[in-house]
Amino acid sequence: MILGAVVVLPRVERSVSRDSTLTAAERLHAAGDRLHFDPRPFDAFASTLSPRTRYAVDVPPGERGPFITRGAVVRAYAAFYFLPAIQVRRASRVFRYRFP
Amino acid sequence: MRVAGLLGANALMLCIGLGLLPWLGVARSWRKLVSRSGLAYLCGLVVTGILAAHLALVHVAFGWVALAVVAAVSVVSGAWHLRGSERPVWTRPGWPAVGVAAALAALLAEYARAFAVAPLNRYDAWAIWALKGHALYAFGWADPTVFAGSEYRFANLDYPLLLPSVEAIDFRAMGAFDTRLLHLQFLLFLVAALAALGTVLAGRVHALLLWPLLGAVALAPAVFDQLLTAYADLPLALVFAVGVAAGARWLLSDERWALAVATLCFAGTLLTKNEGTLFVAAAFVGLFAAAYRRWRPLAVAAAVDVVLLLPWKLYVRAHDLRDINYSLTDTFDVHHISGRVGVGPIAFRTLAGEMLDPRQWGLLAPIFAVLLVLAAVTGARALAVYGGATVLLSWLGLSWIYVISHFEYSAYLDSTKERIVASVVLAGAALIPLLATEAWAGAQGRRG
Repeated sequence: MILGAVVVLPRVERSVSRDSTLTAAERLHAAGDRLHFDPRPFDAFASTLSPRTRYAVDVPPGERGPFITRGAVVRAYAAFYFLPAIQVRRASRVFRYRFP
Repeated sequence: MRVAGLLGANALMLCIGLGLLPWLGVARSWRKLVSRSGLAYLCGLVVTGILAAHLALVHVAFGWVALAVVAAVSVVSGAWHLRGSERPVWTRPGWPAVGVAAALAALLAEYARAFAVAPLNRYDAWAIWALKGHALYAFGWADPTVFAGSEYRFANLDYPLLLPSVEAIDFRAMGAFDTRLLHLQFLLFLVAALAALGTVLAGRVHALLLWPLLGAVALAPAVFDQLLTAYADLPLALVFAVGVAAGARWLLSDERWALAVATLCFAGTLLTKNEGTLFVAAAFVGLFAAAYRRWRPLAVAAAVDVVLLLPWKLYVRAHDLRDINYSLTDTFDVHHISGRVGVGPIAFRTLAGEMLDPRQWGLLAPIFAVLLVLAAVTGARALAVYGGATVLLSWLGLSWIYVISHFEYSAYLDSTKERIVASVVLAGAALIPLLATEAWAGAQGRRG
């Protein structure tokens, strides 16, 4: 218990001081920022979507990570970020993302 | 206001649990209901999650109205069940208990400061759990367009829906997809599990064993770190640990209510993550091995769990959803296995190292291991067999996953090893007070 307290209590303090200063925009893009994605294309496309709008994603495969490619991570993040719009394989609305 | 909504929804889950306790046989009188009310919150949380997850499969959204109706039905029926029974008698709690409970409450309040401001930025948290919770919230059910959509296969679509369903209830209660306050629900899982664990073990173990265990679990760095990620592994581990402790109580005392609680928690485990099947199977093997003469109630418990898992399995089958990480049928792929069989011992050792890491879990795992041996030596063999089988089979099963997976094993192991052992460590930890008590009683008996 003492061991845990010595390790965990400073971590709690660090988490509070780090996360309590996040702005609404930083919080909104927290997952994408962690992946070093440019938030602007995501925000611009999201503003054109309505719930249940079908859209597709056009992104190059990018470099391969241990499990999936960077392009697949963009697709996953788009699926999360654009909900409740629905990602499908082909649609007239296309989100295009290019790696810098 | 959003916090009030989140807490209000959880208060209704607590009410659902309170009304459920008489039906589970946990409380056969008002007096018992009060003394065992610590189980109410976790039972309510699990039952609500199961109900919401199943209703999501048939196009029924679970929000304020459903929560209120289920809570009212549960409370009224529970009160009807207890009519005319013994009333509670006020007994002044001892100062040590009040002091330790206050310290635990202060610790959880301190944690709440971190959980109330945490960002949702970890991959599995947004790509699997919050995405599904948001989809359930937005569409009102497990719409196959998303939940079986080919573009969403990255989200482990074959994982069951208990946690996303609880998240969706929270979003409905808050009136928004609030990824910040969502973290508080994960802390509330810890609150519910600690109260439940304390209640399951109370009366069987001395307070000097019980309170330090609850403190050690709450203070384990991995518990704080992993709950804060908003992954499902810690909620899974907490629910499973309470189920394992309840199973152990049934083993030692033959109280039916304890088996009912274990059955409910195991159902919650099965419906939280696919690994839950491995853990619950290991626990049932342990229970059957330790109490084979009492196989009938165990068979009923196992059947209830299978039935509760069935609707989700039918949905998975109907939509042909597959695990993207591994397939159990690859166990029989001799060509694949022969090339990776060496991964097994590596994974087994690596997971052991994670469980024994004091910077993650304190000394929970080594204390469990020592007490398991002591219990076996001093004659508490049933408990030792149960604890040993549950932990060892779970550990072996987890190691086997790395063998059958098609991922490069070291990357897969590195990215999952810390969190995947949570259920094994906490299941063992939940047995520590019982093992110590039984070992001590066994040693005293030998001396006598």
